[in-house]
Amino acid sequence: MQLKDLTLKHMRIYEEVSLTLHPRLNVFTGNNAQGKTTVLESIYMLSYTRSHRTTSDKEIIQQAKPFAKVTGTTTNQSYELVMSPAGKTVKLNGGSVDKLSAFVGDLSVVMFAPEDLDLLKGPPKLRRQFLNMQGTHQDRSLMGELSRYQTLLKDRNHRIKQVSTLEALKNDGLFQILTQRLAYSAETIMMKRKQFLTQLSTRLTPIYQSIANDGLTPTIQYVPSMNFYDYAEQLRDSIDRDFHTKTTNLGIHRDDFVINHITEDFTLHASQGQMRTLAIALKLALVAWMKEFKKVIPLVLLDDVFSELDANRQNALLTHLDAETQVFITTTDLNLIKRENLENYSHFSINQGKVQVSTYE
Amino acid sequence: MKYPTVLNQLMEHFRKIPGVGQKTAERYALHILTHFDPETTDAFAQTLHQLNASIRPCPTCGFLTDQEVCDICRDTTRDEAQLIVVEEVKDVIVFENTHTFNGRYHVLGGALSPSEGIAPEDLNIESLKTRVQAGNIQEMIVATNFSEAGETTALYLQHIFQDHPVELTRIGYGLPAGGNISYADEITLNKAIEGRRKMH
Repeated sequence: MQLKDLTLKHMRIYEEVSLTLHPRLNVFTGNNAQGKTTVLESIYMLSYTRSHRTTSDKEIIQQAKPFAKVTGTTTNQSYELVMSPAGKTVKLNGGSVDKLSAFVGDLSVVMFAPEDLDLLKGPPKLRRQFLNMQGTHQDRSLMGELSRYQTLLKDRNHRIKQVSTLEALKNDGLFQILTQRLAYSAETIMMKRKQFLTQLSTRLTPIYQSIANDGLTPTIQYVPSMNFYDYAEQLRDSIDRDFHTKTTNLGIHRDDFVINHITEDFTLHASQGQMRTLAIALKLALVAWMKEFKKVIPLVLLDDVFSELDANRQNALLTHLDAETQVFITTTDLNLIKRENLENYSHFSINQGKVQVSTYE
Repeated sequence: MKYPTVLNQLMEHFRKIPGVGQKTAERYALHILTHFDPETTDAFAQTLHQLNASIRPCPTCGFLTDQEVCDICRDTTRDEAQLIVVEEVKDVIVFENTHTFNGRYHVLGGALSPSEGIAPEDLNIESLKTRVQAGNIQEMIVATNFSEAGETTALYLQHIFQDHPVELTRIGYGLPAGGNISYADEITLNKAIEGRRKMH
């Protein structure tokens, strides 16, 4: 996959800018808060329709402007995303798309940002977001299933609050139907998550080993909140607890995954360096996964990560990518990137939302 | 500068209609004032007045009527053995326009959605039970929408009628007439595969 050009309008600091992109390596330099990450964020949004660093579209639209727009073209597709206070609209090849799910994931993108270090150590919510976002690359129907699950979960929680006694709840027909439907939806999602994480895990281990060479064998383990047997029964068994807490305690909205070395949580004893390697390896595993299962080489976005990585890890990161991978890097200092990695590339120097380009072939 | 009070009130009334905003309401109100002759305006007002006075839901099926029971329920040529259950009044008209169904209907008046505050007691389910218990209905065709609430409602009906001697069927879902498979969305296609038929 290759993005040929990118236009941002009223995106954060940018009034309007059009960039012609290098097919191999694009490096964005500038001081902090000049708009480097916004370029990567925009590309990310053309794939996922949401930002990797905020959930508020309002924050993204330039102050006092009615909308923000990103457009990009690859060799055979064009993508457009418009955000306004009324919501988001997307266009694929100039035509409107009714459902965001028909747009999401069409452009394949993998981003590695400083925030990714939190993914492995932070709250489970981050890992569920990761599962949901990446899962859409796995299977388009997953997005629909997730939204169905959310609706049913909301309905079930409301029903728990509407019925006044535990006895009545146990005998409530509507509650039973909602439980049954929720269980069915959870089962579908859990199967897909399990499959995805297993596939990702088998790619993660060798990548980690080749970079770290420390004898550790990290594997991903899915930690669902329910067991892989009769889902409806488990939900029925938790009815007392659900009634007292007035909410659904089991389900894919409480899922998590951990990374183990043998059977122990990898992150407990890992050094800072090992955690960084692991975070890189996880993203590289995702790139490998996309290549194998989606048959595409995704765009790789590296946001300010070269300052965090020593020369060895920089090299490892770049050598693991296919030669034809299009890479986008932001950095405060071009010297942080090793010279041998800078042969053919375009350099975008960014200052207060203004961009100067030089191309080296 | 504002319009006179009565005109403003009329606009406010129009704005309560789905799909009508400020500008459209203004256009409607001014049109009535300037283009309708007084007889037409009176007739319009009369009609609105009669609406609540004469039209009510049919006590049997929930469809609208200005009689004791609705035309469909009174029609003795219709098959009493088949009953289509729908969410809204307008769904009855949609089925009627196909001219292929000669049974009866039951309008639930919505679909189950606890999060929107719609529980079983808010729908015409008791009257449906009464009809089924009367014993003439053999097949109940559940034609609620293909939405979360519609599906939940269908399953709920299945649940409450499981011990009744009535056959429950769900209308088929899948591709629309003239539909091209390559343009269908994933969910519709999945449903179409689930609901596939044996050809021989």
